[in-house]
This record gives sequence, C-alpha cells and structure tokens, in this order.
Amino acid sequence: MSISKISVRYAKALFQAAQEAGKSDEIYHDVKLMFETCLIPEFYFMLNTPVAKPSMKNEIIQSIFTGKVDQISLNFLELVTKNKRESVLKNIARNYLKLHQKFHNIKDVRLVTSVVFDEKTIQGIITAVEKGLNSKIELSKTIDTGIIGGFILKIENTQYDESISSKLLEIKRQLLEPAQS
Amino acid sequence: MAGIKPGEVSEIIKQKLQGIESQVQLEEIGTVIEVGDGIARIYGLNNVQANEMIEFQNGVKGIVLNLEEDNVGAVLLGLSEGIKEGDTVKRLNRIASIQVGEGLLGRVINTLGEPIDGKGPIPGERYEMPLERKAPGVIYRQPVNEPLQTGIKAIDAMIPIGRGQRELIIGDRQTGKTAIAIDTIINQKEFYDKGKPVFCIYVAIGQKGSTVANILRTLDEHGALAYTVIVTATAADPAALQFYAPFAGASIGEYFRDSGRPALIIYDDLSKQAVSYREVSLLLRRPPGREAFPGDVFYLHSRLLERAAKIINSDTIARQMNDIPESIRHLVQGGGSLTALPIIETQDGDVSAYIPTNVISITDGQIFLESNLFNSGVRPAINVGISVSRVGGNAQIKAMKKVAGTLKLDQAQFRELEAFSKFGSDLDAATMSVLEKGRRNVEILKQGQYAPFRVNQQIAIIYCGTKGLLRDVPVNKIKEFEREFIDFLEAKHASIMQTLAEGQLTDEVIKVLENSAKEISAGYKK
Repeated sequence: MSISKISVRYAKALFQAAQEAGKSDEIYHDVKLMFETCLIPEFYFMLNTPVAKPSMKNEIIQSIFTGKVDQISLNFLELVTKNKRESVLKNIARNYLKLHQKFHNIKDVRLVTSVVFDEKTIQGIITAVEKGLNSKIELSKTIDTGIIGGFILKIENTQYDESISSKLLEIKRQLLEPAQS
Repeated sequence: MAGIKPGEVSEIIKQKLQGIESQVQLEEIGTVIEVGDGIARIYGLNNVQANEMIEFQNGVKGIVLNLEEDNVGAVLLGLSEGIKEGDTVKRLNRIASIQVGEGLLGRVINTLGEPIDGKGPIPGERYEMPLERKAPGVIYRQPVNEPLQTGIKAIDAMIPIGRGQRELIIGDRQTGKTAIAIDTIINQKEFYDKGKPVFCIYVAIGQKGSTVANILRTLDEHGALAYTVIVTATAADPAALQFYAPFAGASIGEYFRDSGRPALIIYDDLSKQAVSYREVSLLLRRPPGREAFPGDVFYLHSRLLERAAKIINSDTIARQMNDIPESIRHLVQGGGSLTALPIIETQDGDVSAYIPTNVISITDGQIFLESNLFNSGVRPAINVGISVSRVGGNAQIKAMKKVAGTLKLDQAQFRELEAFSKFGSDLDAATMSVLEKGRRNVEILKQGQYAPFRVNQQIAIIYCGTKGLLRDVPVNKIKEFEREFIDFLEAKHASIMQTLAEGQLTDEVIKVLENSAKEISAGYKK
C-alpha cells in the first residue's frame, strides 16, 4: 500500500488514542521526540535496514524510549515494529504533528535569520504573527549566514522572503532576462 | 574620443538598477523529504496542481506529477545534485509551458524552450503555450483533403499522407526511418520558396548529441532550416525532459496550426519517449503493467497524437476552439493543420510488442520499413504490402490518383508471382510481362537520400511504369532512363509539367508523356 496512506492512517489512530486517554499534549511531545530521533542518521538507518530482525528493532526502540515517553507511545512503537512499518515512522510522526497542530490551532512558524535576533525583537515577531493569524504559534529559529541579511519567515506552507540573498537573485534574474524586441 | 565621465556611467547604471522591482510577496512553499533518481518527494505545497511548475532553492525547476495524501511527487528538470532533504520548494503558479514564436524557426531548443545552439536568445514576440493541452474537439476539425508531399515516390504514390494526418514510420534500427522524415522536411523547401511554407518541427528524443548535430547540418545544407525548429532532449538529459519533449514540439506545432498555417511534426522516436516515461513512472511508484510500462502509456501517446489535426476552414468556428491559450487567442485562424510523423523503433521486426501496437492503433496508417529490403538495395526500404494510409487517399492530387491507382495492386501481384517463379523456369508470356513490369516498378520506386521528387516528376515517371512504357529499357538502366526522361520533359515540355503539377492529366499531357517515353526508350533498345 502507498506509504502516504499508511502514515496518515497510523497517525490518525494514535491521535484518537491520545484524545481518548486525555493525554493529547503528552503524546504530542512524545511524537516530537520520535521525529527528532528519526533525524539521527544511525537511528533512521536502523529503522530502514532489512537485515535487523523486527524483534531486535523493537528492543532497541524500547530501550531508547522507555522512561522518556508515555505508555501509549511505547505501545504504539511496539505495534509499528510488530506490523513492520517502522520504516515509515518518520512520516507517521510528521503527519501526527500536523494533525495535532491543526486540531489545536497551532501554527508552525520558522524564522531564518543571518544573525541572532534579540529576545525583544523575537517576542515582537511572535506577538505580531499570533495577532495576525489569530492562533498560537510554535516558533523555531535557524541561523543561516547564506541569506546575507534580512530574514525569511515561514508560516506553515507560505513564506515571506525578506532576505538580501533572494533580492540579489531577483535583480540578477531581471538583468539577465532576454530583452523582448 | 569624447570624454566619458565616470559619474555619468554610474548614474545610468543606478537608473537601470532602480528600475528593477523587488516585490516581496507571500510564496507557497514545501519541504523536500526525499530526492534522488531525478524525482523528489515534497511535504507541504498543499494547493499545488498536477503539472504545475515548481522551483527548488538552487533554481532547478520541476513538474508536479503525483499528488498523494501527505506528499507531492515531482520530476526534476535538472540535476538532483545540490538539492537536499529539508530544502525549500516554491510554487511558480503556472503549469508547465513553453514560449513559442516565429523566432524559433531555424533554432535548436530544449524541452523548456531555451535555445541551445549558441545563437543567443530567441528574438521576436513570444507566446506562452502550455505543454499539455486538450486536442481540438470534433466540430473544430475537418477531414484531411490536402496532400502533404514527402517527395518520396513510393510514399506519395502508394501511401499518400494528407495534411493533418498521423502516419507512423516504423521499422528496425538502420532501416532509414529518420531518413524518410528528414527527406520530407527537405521536400517542404519547394513550398517555402513559393511563399506557402509548411513549418517543420523535428523532435529528437533520447538521441545522441552527435546525431542531432548531423541532422542540423544536413537541414542547413539543404536550406531547410529556415522553416524548421529542432526540439531536442538528448540521451544525457533527465528523463523528464525526454518524455516532455514531444509535448513541447506539439505546442510549437499548435501555434502554427491555430494561426491558420500548415505544420509538420516529427517525433523521433516515441519508443524512447515511452522508456523515459516508464522510468519516471516506476520511480514515482506507479504500478507497472505490461512490459513494466505504466497503465497510462497508451493515453500518453494518444493524447499527444490527437493534437495533430486539420482545423476547420471557417475562422469564426475556429476561434471558438476549446482550450486556446489566452496568449494566442487574437491570432487564431481556421484552415491550419498539424501533420504528425511519429517514429517507432522495433526490435527484430516485432510489431506486436506493446508500444508498436499501441501507436499503430492510434495513427491513421503506417509506413513499414524492413531491413531485408534495405539490405537488398531497395531504398527507401518500404514494405508496400503492409504499409497503409487510412485517410491520405482523399488528399492525393487527381493526376497522381489516376496514375498510381493500380501501382499498389500491381506490385502485390508481382511479389506473389515472383515467389512462384523461383520454382520453375517455364513461364507463359502474361506472367513474364507482369514480372518484367514489376521489376521495373521496383527500380522506379527506389530513390536516393536527400533527393526529393516534385509531384509532377513523380507522376511522369510512375505513368511510364504503370503503363508499361519501359518494356524496352533494361532493368539496370531504369535510373538512367528516369534522369534522362525527367530532364527532357523539364527542358522541352515545361508547360506540360506545369499542368501536371496542378493535378491535371489531360489527353495532351498523356500524349506528350507517351511520345517522350517512346523516343527516349528507343535509345536503350538492344
């Protein structure tokens, strides 16, 4: 079956389980932890390798997460490995986070800057965005000297690009555009 | 030299730079979650449409092909190096399209419409045409009624092609498929010189760069480049560019067709295009079917070839045609046509493979080339028995129809008798005469490369063949006779040739043809 459908299904199931148990916030943090763990190359490789037995994978996963996450999450991880769907864990986690954010009206906001902004400016941005979107936001900050100056504000699937690098690129593009005669 | 103040120069540059608009706007984005083998999976881009163009952080463009529940599959139109997981992808808010205009004539471009012949940017006004466009509906078409002269005797006489027709050229490797296509393009020079050009588009898919360069040079040498556009996606280009190349060519053809002019497009070849489509489809995890081609490979070719059409003569009806791009709406005129000559390469003469059967069933006939004929010196190596043209007969000019009407049957009869005659040596006179005539007709239908015959020349020589006027000429002298005969007619009876070119076979013409043939063939009598 399509990986896309699988991951959406598992995410929905876990989300409903969390809702019923009234542990929506705890599981949200657990899944966040799972997603971040999946970004570790060794872990991701272990999930995808066909050489390791599912039982062995389960042992590794359990020993990593026991004590750090809720029992529901642990059971969920066991189910995923039992069904041999551990390779889509990352997609499941991503879909779960989206689902939770949508349900609780949280917007995922990413701010890319070339220098570290001070707390006051960032607070200002947060209040402005929260007011504009009329929802809670979760801000993640990245420093990228490649953008030279200015900032890029990404809100969910839209971005507001106010960086120097993209402006320079735009100037280059307009200068190189073949003249229409 | 008058002094130039540096200040003035800086002022001009400053002004130029001030003219550049830098508008910041909200852009829709997604994130790359997987990339490789020329495709990318993207998370986000929730509102993207199928076939929409997207742009990656490093400037490489892509086309969205798969819309799935939580991600989007796209093909890259450039190298996947430099794109990594987590990169931002922007929507470009336009579906895949190409900039088309008169400036493309004489140029070599890639699938995206960018010139790659080093002659600088494409000049003149250009119009945006989408790569994928619905074919004209039934009421905007009319039956094929005008011939498309290929300049090849065997084709124009027995397998005539009409403007707006789709005629498949099929055969093994090294049987002269491309040669027929190139000869057809070269033959359109006659119409270009008359001021009624048939615009040609040659689409090279998955070919060697050197082959394309050779074709370019050949066309240039024969003065055919002035009315030809070459669209190329060589073997080194990404698979996406290769399978979109015919669509780009069709869009250019549609520009000429919809502005009321005749155009000819050659897809060389669609088997390679199907292979690149298979590659992309498999990478996008679409389920494979027969020969691992995806289920919609038939639709891929049928929708492409449906775009070849003869448009109705009425301007008012043509202007209401479906799916006309906004950019060319003011240019639309009736009476245009797009003739398609797709090429398919078979493996070891196997026409029952998946792609050949598909394309045979889609097109209005096929020209079948055989390596046996090619090797025995019959060139073009057309197997007349199984080559057909389903609609072209209506488009043939009257004189040709009259003269060549029996040629195909004659040749079929000849081949049958020839096979039998190999068993015994005692043959009656009637059989002998059929055999003799058949052998001479085979000689007449042979033709060199890059040597197209005008339609009146074709009629004149085929008349001699079908009426048995070559009885006295030895088989190995037929070519010599042909040259002499045509030269004689051109020199002495120019007005007769003119009448023939207009499609009339009057008694006077017949008399001249018979007398001239007798006179010249007398010289060959033993």
